[in-house]
Amino acid sequence: MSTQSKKSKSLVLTVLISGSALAYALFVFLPTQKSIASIRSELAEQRNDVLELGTLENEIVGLERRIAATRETIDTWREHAPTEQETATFIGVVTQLAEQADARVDRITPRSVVKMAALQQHPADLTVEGGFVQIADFLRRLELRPETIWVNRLNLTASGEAGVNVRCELSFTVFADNPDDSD
Amino acid sequence: MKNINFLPERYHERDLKRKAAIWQYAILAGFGGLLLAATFGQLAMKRSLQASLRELEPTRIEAKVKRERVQLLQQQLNSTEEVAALYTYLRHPWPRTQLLAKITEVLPECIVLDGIEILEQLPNRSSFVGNEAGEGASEASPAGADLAQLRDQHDATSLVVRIRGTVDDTGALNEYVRQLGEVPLFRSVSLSSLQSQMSRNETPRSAFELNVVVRPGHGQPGGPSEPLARRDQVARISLERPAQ
Repeated sequence: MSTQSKKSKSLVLTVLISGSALAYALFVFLPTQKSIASIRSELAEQRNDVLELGTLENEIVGLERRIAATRETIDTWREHAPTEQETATFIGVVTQLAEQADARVDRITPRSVVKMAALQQHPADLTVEGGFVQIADFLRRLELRPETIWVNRLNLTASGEAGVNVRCELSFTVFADNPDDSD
Repeated sequence: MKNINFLPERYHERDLKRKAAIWQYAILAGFGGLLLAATFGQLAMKRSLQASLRELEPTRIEAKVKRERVQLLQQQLNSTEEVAALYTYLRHPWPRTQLLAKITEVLPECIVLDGIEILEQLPNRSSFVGNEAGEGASEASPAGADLAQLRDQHDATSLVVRIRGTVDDTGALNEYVRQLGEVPLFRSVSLSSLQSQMSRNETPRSAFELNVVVRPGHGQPGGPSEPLARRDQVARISLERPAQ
């Protein structure tokens, strides 16, 4: 009887100890470990943030530099882009350029304006005559204009006595901002 | 000498029980201590981690602010980049004076030029390609749409220089073609026609036509990735050398 009671007492004790160990593990140890793991992962993220900080600073500097460069390009273009008034009188400018180069404008014909979404194209056809040097000087003056001018077609033909004169047929387009576009 | 225990058996049992109880309490205490140690250890670790978190908090906030700034700058860049790309594209055509300069620079005395024509040659394009570009353009911003339209119109074309003239020495013409072929601005130079003709002073001469395909401009497909010439080198035609 005494041995029996000893055994049952020992069993109760073992069950109690195991039960409390299990309860501790389930309700205290594991949740705390879980919370530690979550803090650790948060900490790892924050450490990554700290490491990323240098990269972000470089990225900001790079982006600011690119924005400054793009703004400069935009500002430069807009500064030189002709206004509506200037495009209307650009033919006069071309005639002046020809005069400055000692070339003679034979004919200048503006064509209809091509309206795009953000831009406007002002095309024109031009015939100029003069020596090769004069024609080259005229083209140089035209290309050095601050406005954006595309020479779409250029036809130089020898003319006059022994071909000393050059006839230059030219199609060019002056680009301007489209005033209807608010960008 | 031999020890003789005269105590009854029940005293021995009681002694054993007492010893067993002591061990049981010791084990219980040890177990409890272990649990306490684990709990305190965990708490200490948690506190230390939380302290580290608090220390890093300002940096985290700084990183968050900077990340937001990056996003903002990225948006600003996206909105300005398309416009800048359009304006930059408008600067892609090679200056025609530069093309003329390259053509006349290496021109030998025996060649007389009758004409030079610079024009964009349109390729044969399938309607499918055109439609595809058009659909893309309709979704873009005004600047993006214009850029797509200009690219669609000009990127597939080739800039061609047709040189017409006469020569009395075909060897010199061949040398001229070779020298033009070495100019980095030109992609290919070919003699498209050569025809014998008699000049007024009865000297046999040959009329020729050269076809020079110009390399695409900067920013165009197949265009150079590095500058071929600086902007200040634009429009320099030798004034000492008039057309012949």
